[in-house]
Amino acid sequence: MEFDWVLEEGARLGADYVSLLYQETVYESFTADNRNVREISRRRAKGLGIQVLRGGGLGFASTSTLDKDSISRCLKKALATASAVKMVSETKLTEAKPVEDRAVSRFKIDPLEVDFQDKIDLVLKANKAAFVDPRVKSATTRLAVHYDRRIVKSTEGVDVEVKCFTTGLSHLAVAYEAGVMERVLHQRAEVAGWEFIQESDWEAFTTDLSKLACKAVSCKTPPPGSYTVVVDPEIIGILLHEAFGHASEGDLVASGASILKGRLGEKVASKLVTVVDEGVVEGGYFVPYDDEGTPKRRTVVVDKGVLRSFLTSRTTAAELGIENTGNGRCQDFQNIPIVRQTNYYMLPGDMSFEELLEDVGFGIYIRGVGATGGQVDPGMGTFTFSVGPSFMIRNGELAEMVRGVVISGFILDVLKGVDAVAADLRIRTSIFGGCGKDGQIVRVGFGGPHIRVRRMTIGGGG
Amino acid sequence: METSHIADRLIRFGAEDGDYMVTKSDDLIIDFTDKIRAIRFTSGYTVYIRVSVGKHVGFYTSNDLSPEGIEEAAKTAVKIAEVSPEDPYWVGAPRGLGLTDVEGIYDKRLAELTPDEAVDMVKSAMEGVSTAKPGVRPVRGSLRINVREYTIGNLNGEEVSRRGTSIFIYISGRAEEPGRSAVYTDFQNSRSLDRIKPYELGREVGLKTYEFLDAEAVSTGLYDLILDGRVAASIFRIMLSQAVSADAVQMGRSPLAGKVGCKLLSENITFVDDGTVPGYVGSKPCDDEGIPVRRNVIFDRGVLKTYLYDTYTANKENRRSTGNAHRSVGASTVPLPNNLILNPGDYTLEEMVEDTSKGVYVLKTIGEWLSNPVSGFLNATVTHGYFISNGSIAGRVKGAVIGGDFYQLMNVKVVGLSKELYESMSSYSPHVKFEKVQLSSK
Repeated sequence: MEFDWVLEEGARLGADYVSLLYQETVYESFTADNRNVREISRRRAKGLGIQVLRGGGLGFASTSTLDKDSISRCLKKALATASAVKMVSETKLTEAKPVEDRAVSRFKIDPLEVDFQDKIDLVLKANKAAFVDPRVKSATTRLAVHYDRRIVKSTEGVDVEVKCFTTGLSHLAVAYEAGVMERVLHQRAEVAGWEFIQESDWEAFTTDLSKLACKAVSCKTPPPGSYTVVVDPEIIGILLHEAFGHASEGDLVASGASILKGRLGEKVASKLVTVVDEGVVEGGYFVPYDDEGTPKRRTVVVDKGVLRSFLTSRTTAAELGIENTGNGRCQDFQNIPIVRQTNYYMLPGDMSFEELLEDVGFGIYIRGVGATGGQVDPGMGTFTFSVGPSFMIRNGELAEMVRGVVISGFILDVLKGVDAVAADLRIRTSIFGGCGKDGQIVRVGFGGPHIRVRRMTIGGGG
Repeated sequence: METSHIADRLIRFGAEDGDYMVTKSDDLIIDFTDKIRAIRFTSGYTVYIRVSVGKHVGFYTSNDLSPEGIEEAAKTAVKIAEVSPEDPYWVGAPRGLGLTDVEGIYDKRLAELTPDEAVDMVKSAMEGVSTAKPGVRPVRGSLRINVREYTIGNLNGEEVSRRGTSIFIYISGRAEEPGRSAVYTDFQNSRSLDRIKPYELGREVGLKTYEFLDAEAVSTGLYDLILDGRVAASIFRIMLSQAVSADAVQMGRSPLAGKVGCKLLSENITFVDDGTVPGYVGSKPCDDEGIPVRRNVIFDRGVLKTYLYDTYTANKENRRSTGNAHRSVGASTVPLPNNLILNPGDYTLEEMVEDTSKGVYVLKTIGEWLSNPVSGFLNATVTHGYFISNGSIAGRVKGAVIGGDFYQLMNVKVVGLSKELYESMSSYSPHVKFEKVQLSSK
């Protein structure tokens, strides 16, 4: 790689440590809207981020102009910021083991090599298929292909390259009936090549979402209150990620912004709950190494209800005096790695979905298809999520569909209230969005099995 | 920024019409927790290209402004246009580029702020938190200073430029006592340095954090709600930005479709979009197509007057852009408000509280972005609020969910607006009082 001289120059100019992240990325998007192609776009970016440590001050600068003069200026800016930081705070790093590796995500067909015309045809066909009912007033379908190549190098002997292809399709269906409008947005994506797109039935995917929107538009919202809730894998995935995963991130713990601070070894969930963060897992995003060049293996965060570990980067591990779990990730070369989840999910139990329903006299089965996401306060442990069209449960069986369901509560109450866990683990990732923190968005995976929670607050009702 | 060669390259590769926007962005960012973590400088260009060959349109975005990068961008953009199906609604790239005179959007002092000066601001904010009350400390925050230049041009030889500065600082405090804890976050957002008061921000966060140690859940029921101006501004941005966009209307995704001229909101409610207000967060001399911004009255005393248009959506209806084009990452444009403003009323916050027998003054919420602007269903969770009993503050509340039909709330339940405006992400609102709104709790 042609940037080795930057490491040497950084050391010569007085840096105790220099780390580089070189990134190239291409994102293609094909959007069909109401039976027409709306937008075909390609986005390409490359650049270099330089992180330096000097006298305990951590500095960073980035540039998308890659000639030698621009990179030299960038290095000097990073050193200048390090000097400004060292006056007010000292940063320590855990030791990094020298590592040299090249990792490429699994793919058969390079999606960037596939003809534009094939992609246009596919997205248009999937969009047109969505108009199965006169109540469908609007349908937007988007196909996306993402290539991300990162090279991490440091003066400590790290030399890691990770290449990853992701492909996926999203669909928004809007249905209208008797003055009421309802939307259902969903996506499917995998770390894979074009073969994932080829092998999936996208017309069935968009048709099903249209039908769901048409059905949901005439549904009622459940009365607000406290319910026994069966949660599907997508919702438990996002709930864990947002409401618990962020609280388990070491930087929030170190600064006291997490409800989990000081609770290692404590019971924080029902004994049925085991939660892990794992870099490479079926269905999830591909993070064999983090952006500091640390291998990302499985971290058991909660073991049978007991909090066992926090997620850390090199700085937070040093600060907390615990092991570096390889969770230092950044959105792109313009950002500094911070503690992020990779694929955060709950391990499965041994019950069937039907067994989860059996004991519920009156409750709700909340579903992820059509969910719009959630928001939490990791310091308080509060969360609020808008889930997709869901079903009432009556006498152990699924009953009528309900819409506009919003769940909220305190995450530790919810996890302590888990009284049944199914065996049907499912993990998903996304190519259309990701997890946001400190202005940075990274791709993550999330999921779990179906679970049952004895008491959860349901809002909505409008 | 040297951009004149972009049009030449596009024409050379076969583009018949089109436009481009080039941004140069310089950011100075300080992330901190209970101490400063790092300072970073980021600097870069983004080139957005939209070209057409006949009625075939293609888009390309890149961060490479080198001659080779522009060559590659121009070639690929034209190639994408050529393979794209015809867009029957494509008339052409915008014409008539120009600038409105807008003041207070570029601050030289801010553009030239040094890392050491920025560090001092962060230290002041942190000190404000930790000296406010015993046991309260800063746990998280960020200071972001952005200097951005835009050049927008078309293949007709027109080109305009604009520039702006912004500064954003947020800080969270945490208070802990045996058996209870509280977190509170607040921010300041401005186009110029002199409006940022880091110490005062930190002190207010520290005081509020301490105060909310004793927050409790409220029981489910009907309450009069006073939404703090910032909460209201955030909700209005989420519920209305898309709904008033001509794109959502034309695509059948807005509950406001076909309702121009209808009275949908209370007659106390006048919403305007105005990108010309001096110093406002979303103010600018032209939109992302180079069309001069202006003041657009969206709702006048409850009556829907217009949607917001970019050139593409305006051409569909044979009218003119309202100056609201926002360029997406994919290089196409979508119309959105520049500054969405709810005109103020004549109450003070104190009068609103005094007039409330049983209610909640909602200071902070989370999750309002999970509301559904297509169906009009509003949802938000109150994380910090004051319980009001018989005209005075009687305690602090947390964890209640506000849910309901947004248009019904804004039509029949809104009963008062305060005199001052507050900002949340280029949306501006006074404090807003509603009667008898459902709050759900556990």
